[in-house]
Amino acid sequence: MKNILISVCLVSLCLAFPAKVEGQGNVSQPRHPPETVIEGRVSFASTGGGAVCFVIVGLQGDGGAIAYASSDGDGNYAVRFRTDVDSVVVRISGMGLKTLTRTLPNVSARADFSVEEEVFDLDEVTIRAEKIKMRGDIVSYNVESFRSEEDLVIEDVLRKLPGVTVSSNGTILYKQKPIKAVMIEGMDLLKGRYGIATKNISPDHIATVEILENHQAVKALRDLVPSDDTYLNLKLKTSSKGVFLFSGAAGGGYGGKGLWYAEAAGMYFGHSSQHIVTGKTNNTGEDLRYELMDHDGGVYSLGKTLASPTLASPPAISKEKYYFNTSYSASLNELFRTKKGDDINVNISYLNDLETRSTLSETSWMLPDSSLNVITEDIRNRIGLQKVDAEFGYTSNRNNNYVQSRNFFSGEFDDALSHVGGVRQDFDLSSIKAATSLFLVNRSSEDNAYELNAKVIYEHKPYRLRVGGDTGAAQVNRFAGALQNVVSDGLSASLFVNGVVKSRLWGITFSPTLSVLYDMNLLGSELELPDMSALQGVPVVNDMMMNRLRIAPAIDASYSSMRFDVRLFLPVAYYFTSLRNPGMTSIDRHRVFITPQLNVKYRPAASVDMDFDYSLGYSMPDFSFLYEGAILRDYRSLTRYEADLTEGITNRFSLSVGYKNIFDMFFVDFNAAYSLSSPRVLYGYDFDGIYSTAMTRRTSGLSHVFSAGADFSKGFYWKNLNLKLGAGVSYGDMPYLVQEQVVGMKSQAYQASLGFSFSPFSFLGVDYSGNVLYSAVSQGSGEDVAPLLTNSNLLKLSFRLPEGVGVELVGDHYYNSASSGKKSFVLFDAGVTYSYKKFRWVLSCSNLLDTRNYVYSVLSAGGSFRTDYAIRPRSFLLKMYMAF
Amino acid sequence: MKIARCIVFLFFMTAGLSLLSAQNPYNVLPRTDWENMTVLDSAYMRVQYEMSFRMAVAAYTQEELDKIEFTEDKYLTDKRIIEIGDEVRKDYSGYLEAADLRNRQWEEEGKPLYTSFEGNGNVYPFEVFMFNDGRIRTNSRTLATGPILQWEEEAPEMQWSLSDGRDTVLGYPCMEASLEFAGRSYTAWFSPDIPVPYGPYKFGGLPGLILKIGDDSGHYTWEATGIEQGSWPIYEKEYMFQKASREKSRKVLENMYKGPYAFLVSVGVNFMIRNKDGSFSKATAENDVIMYYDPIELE
Repeated sequence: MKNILISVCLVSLCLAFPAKVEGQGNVSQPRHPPETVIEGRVSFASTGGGAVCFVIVGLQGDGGAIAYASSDGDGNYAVRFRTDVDSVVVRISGMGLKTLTRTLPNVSARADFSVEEEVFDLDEVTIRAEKIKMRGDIVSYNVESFRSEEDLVIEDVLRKLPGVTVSSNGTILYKQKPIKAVMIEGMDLLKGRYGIATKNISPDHIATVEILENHQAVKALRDLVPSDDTYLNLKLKTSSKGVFLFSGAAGGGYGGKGLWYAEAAGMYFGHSSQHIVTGKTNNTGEDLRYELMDHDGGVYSLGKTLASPTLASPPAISKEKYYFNTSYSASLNELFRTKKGDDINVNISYLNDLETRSTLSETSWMLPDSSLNVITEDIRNRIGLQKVDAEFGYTSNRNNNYVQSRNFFSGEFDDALSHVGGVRQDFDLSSIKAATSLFLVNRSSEDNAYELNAKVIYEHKPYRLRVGGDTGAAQVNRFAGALQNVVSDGLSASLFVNGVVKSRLWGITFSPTLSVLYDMNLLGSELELPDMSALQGVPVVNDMMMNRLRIAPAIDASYSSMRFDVRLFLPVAYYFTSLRNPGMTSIDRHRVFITPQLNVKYRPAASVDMDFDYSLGYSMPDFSFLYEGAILRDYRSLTRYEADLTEGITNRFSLSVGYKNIFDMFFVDFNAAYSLSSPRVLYGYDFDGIYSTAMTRRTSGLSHVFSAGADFSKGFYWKNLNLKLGAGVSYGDMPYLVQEQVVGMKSQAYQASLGFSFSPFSFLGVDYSGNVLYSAVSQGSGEDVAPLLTNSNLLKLSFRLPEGVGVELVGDHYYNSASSGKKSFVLFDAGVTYSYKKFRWVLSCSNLLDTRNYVYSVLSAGGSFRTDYAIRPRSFLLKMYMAF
Repeated sequence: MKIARCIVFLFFMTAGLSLLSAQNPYNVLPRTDWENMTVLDSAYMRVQYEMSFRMAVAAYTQEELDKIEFTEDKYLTDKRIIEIGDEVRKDYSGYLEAADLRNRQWEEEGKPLYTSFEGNGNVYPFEVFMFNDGRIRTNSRTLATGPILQWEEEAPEMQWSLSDGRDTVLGYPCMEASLEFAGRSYTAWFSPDIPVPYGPYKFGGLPGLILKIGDDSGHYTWEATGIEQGSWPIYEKEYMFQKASREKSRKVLENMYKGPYAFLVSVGVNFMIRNKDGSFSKATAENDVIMYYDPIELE
């Protein structure tokens, strides 16, 4: 890359200033000494290749330059001058190479130079760049304006950008909408697994973060099919392009046991290829799966897991506080761009994770007779996971043609052990998935294009749950000794064909489309119990096969102008469902539905977006609600359903209004959504003490859900202040099935959040985020669960002291009104950092107060849940980070 | 467009009043009527220069104009931004660009538009794109909402002579070089520590970034006030350009300076001016003025 840059500069010099290829300027001399010609070759010491550079001849001492020349593409140069001094100083300089000077006698001779590569860096930045810029649908954030010294990876900076939100699992949202992908220099190396970039690339390497709103990534569809997708593009600093980058960390400590932390990431971002290789391990509570998560969906599972051990429900606090783990991960990400601009990508990731959990939980179910069914469980888990994901893809994105082929393989192997009181549950699962997709677009003319999108996914998933007893289990559990075997196979094949035709008269784009979807699900299960008579003849075997075919021709009409985008999608869908479960079910069902979708975008000004959506949909029960042979879901729940294929209907309305003022760094977003649905079939549980059995019931009740929210964010030049405010409200009124009765359930929740970061002094950085949530649930019978008020606050103070020393103090506060004991819960962390050049050492102490449990409650439909969850004890950890 | 015409009217009311009081009548207006913004390249370096040039003072006769002395207060400064990419280099006015973008934003928001600029409010109304294939494209604003001229030419030859002078600009040690270019003699200061062969305007070809350059008569000077590395798009706003050859464009500009009212009338901009006696009359070629014309390139 450096050579390319040098070449570009020098070649452009030759082109832009043609008389200057080997031209020299000479100092006017009163006399005319003989001409001296120094010629030779400048080459790189590392490769021997020619270096394109400047050769400047000057006088010794403080004398100025007397002549110069530039070398050609092979490093050859010749410089001519006239001077009567005995010797001259020759200086070799160029972008990307270390300046070299040598004194030579003033005689014509050959002089070869060997130079070393060196990243060119200006001594200092001397003008302030604007923090945010807007150009059409592109908003550019200057990274240097938002980063602070504490930021280790670019994700830390993204969290501070006005309008940008990063969720706890690493999902990036812009104006509260998830982005489609993170690109690096316009290249999509990671597809949906952008956490590998955002959690590894140092902000030192990033010049600008660009948000591309309404970005149509398919060139062949630009100016023809509007896009609603938002992309994030990381623009690298020039000095970080085409060079090998490395970031790494290593550390160790103690927190009840020995702790370790190690990670390394090697990166290269060039014009024709990009590469990221990572390897990480820790037992310090950092969840590595977030980094490897495919935020674009990836290869989804084709069926729910119907049996699993009882697991402790994690609390809604920072995961590193309660995550007892031993984790290893590795990833290899390669992208090669051919000379024609086509991309070939290979992405492989591996995760090995072992987690332990411990909690004392209390689940209260509100029953129709106003009584509460309270289930108390002492849960201890050991959860092992191994996961391999691989993708191989090819993308050709040209002005008239687009071809994308993606091929996936995924293997997941779970091994979990759960102890609940005296009951032991052993669980193991294997899931093998393979998928391939092909996306083709042909732009036949300015107003016409054709799309074809085909995808096939296959999954094979066998799993087994064994319920045993630690001691005397047969006396304490009805299902002790049970063995539940399940094998599910799924095949999903889809084909989408779309012809885009733009009407010249009205500017309306009509796209006749055909969508064909075929799903096949096989479910085999068998429950073995020591005493089968306890089930009183309930069938315990499934050999189910479900085939579902959907054929949906549709018209997709869209109109796009500077102010308006309107899209109406009108499919007429024919459904055929065939369900076979020998001895129990044999159903064929044919249905035709019209499921319109309307989207209206209005931009009264560049700074304002209004978006209205409406859709009508029919929900089809999948096979996980259609099996009639009983399956043991966990040690106390037996599930079987009536094979009822009745479809539910849902109307959804949503409205959002966004305002952004780039000059003032001010973003506001309002959104509201309402859904009216008729579920027609309800699924619920019939409780018998701690035991429950799944049920199915028809209903004519309607479900209403309304939610609204507002988010404000504002950046200031003053003290680098960034402010974020949020508020939300939701109401729900829906039918609910419990104890064989359908009752009304009303819920309401109000939420507000505040966050800010600023530097009141050059030596101090302050970050705060807080959240308040009030929620209440009431049942039609009149009995209400006590309302719940929760509040969380996180305050971080970063002191930047001289000599590269920093001190960080973090306080976490959580309040939960439903806690039976102490309602407030406080955690303190502290850390000291020392930075020297590219290295940073961090000595941190987590959970200074050595708090061991977090007691919290949540409300859910029909009940409440309270848990006393074990969190990580006080720990000390010394880490060293480095980034090159 | 209605708003723009009003602005023009008000502007020239003031301009007419102040012709002889040494105000600058060539105070171009921010524009908002570009169609698209085309990204030409990505800049890896951006340099900011303070460009000093002579005010385009005006008078009713050439004799009056010739008597005007160019004292220090008749020199203006613009903030020039040079963006350097692998394929393209762009030189433009930072003040004018900021005002264009601001007004476009305000227009879309329905706010009233202002003709003001940040900084000292003076701009030199051209932008130059230099391409690696040797082409140079210049977009030059004309008075008020008059057409934007665009012409292309080949990169000129620059025969530099090195001198033994030394200076420091922005903390970078610089060497001296001199050049005869387009009828003017220039002295430049370049820094071999920043090994890119560019500078402001069309200047380049030295083995280091030109941080300071000026013509020996003192009419034009550029001095770097900031430099940064990073990554920025180099874009060109696509207006309805009036494309012409370099020679034709220079002739249009020269005529515009010689008869600004006649020029505006010829491009369809009608306006009233206030006369010396306080009355208003329609601006015509008959009551025209002459503006001082001092192009960078004299030949």
